[in-house]
Amino acid sequence: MSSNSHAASVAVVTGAGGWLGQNLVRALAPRRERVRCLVHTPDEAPLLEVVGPSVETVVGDVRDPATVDRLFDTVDAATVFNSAGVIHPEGRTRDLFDVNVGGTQLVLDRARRAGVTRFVHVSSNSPFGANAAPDDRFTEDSPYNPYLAYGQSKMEAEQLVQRSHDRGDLATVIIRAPWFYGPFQPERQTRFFATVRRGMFPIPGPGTNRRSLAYTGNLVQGLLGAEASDAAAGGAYWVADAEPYELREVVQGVRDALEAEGLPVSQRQPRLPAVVGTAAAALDRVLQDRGVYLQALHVLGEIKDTIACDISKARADLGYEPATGLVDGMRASVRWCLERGERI
Amino acid sequence: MGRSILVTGGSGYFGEILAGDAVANGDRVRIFDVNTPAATTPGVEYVHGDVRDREVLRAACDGVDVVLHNVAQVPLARDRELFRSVNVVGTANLLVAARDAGVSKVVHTSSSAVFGIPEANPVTEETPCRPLEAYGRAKLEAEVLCREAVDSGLDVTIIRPRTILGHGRLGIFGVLFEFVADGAPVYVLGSGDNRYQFVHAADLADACLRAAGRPGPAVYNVGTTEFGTMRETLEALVDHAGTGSEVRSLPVGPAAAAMRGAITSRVVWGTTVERITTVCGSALVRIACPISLATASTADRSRAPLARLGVPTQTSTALGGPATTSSRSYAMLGCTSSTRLRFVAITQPPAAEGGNQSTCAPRASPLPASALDASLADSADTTRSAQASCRCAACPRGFARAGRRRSDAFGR
Repeated sequence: MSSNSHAASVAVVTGAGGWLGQNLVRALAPRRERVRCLVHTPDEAPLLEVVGPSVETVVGDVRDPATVDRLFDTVDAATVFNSAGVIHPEGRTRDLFDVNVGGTQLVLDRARRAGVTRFVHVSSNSPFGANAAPDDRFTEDSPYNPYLAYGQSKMEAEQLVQRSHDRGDLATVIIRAPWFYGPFQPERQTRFFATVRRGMFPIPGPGTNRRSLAYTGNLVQGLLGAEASDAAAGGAYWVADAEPYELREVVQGVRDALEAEGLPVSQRQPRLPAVVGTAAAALDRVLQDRGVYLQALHVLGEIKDTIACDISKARADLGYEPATGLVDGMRASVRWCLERGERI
Repeated sequence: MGRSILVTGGSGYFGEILAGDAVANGDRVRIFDVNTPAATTPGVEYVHGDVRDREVLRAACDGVDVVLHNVAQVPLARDRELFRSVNVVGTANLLVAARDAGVSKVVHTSSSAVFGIPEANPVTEETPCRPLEAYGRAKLEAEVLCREAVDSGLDVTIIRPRTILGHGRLGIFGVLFEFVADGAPVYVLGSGDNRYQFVHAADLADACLRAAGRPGPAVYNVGTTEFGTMRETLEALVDHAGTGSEVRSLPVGPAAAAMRGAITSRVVWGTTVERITTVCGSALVRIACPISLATASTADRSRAPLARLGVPTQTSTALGGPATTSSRSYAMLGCTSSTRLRFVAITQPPAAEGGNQSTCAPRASPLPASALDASLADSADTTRSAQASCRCAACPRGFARAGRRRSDAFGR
């Protein structure tokens, strides 16, 4: 069961300007004395500091030791939420390893030296690839089977975190989150919405493959549970919405959310032969073997797969209970876009 | 002793008026701007700085009670990066600096561009914001930041003005004035029965200062309370000018299609005018400008929020009587037969009144909030009075005399 014994008064958030980071900082800011945030660009700093006087920002790159030193300056018994990461690198796969692995190593090292009391690391489904059968669900006992370079980098980062715990350096918890959705979404998610709205999002095959999704609000609750739970130290947990969705349900959920927020939606559903997804995955693998990354190809190659997880252990150990379901979460995302004048 | 007020963008067109009115109210004023103010006003301190410079901004907020935030890249900037860095990030910088300095009130000047082209007019504070272009989106994003700052304990009020007109700032009418001065026709789309609303810079300044004195966060749309259709407005203009210009209608279909094309290509109307000028010469501008006006019908239902602010909305239309009319050199460019004002354009002040700096002429005695109801009465008498005092250095008649000086700024 969860307890509040580890809810530190100081939190350190890497990747604070990102999709998950922005949600997390807003959850932490009203309840912590200080929320020390690592952001990548100077413009991100005031946009986060507006959230509240507890928010402090450090601008820099997680790969830069001096930057990470500054991040931990005057920090001691804090909780670290390590959510910095690259998922879609620009052109080359090298950044995946430099940031996801190298950056994690740096943050682990500085956190240990600072005397951090809990280290919550945000991981992914990618170290585990795709489920072998349509009804399978990943559990915490599933073996590593990393999918391409991103999966490899996130697996290596997990291993660094786990070793840090096993050595007694830090009390770590790994949170494995699948496909996010929720406010503060990046442009690519807004494009996804726009494509669905216009009836142009192609589903390969019948669209009955299952995907676990994680609403950012749910995921934040999982991260806070990972910080607070005594039982969680040294563990790894799948955190997602209550149940996986079929891919076609996800697309329909986006349509329903758009309509519920007053946007006209096309009901057209283009189909692709399943072989297109298979071919895309094969080509993506060939290119990534050569260090080349094409986002559209990667997404097309992965969308056909079943990637589903079982959140029972998070429920038991972290007190995690996903409060938001697909349509409500997608509606919150759509509202977030509309409130900022984003075109969907 | 009055409040200590920081006016960001205080060297700009509207900021200068605002700073001047604040000084007249007895407030101590500090201007924060990248540009030096055009004139040194006693009691006004100038701080040179850019809202993108957090340290300078932090120092500027020190010891300040109220911030009136007006720094913005206007639509003509056409630079998305500037819209983001100045209008969005700059606003975040200001809000954080103000909060950290213990500022008790921030009044953020937003824009009615946040509404885009609303589904129904008049818009209210509850009308959904659906901006059409990068400028409007940036202003809306800045409003979202203001709301976040409110949640974190800062008192922020948002003012959304309609297109600003004032001394030396003819806004979108600047282009039209040239045509009218030439006696050339001006065009409206179809019947020209779309309504278009402005706000006078002095009234907007009044609203901002009243908002500054009202504790608690709020959002207000601010525009003139009386305004007519585009045809009425332009007919009043050409009638007054007497240069032989006339208002003509364009067929709706082709003209609207051209405008939709411009909007689709994410070109705001001001930019459209400029680009078309470059490509096709001034003949097309004469068509494009009124089309832009015709399709951009946005009307604020501003009386209610103005009333909450205690703004004497009479001044939005008839400018508060002969004394203020004289001091500000207003000229009415036309009234209908019912004598209700349809359009107010502001002349360059006559040289005898001291040149451009009279734009900051202090209001003799602002109406107290208690006078509001009376001020909402029909202003026919003051309209006639103001019309009688017309001196039109910048209206089409005077505009021609003045060597076709053009306003260099479009409204927010």
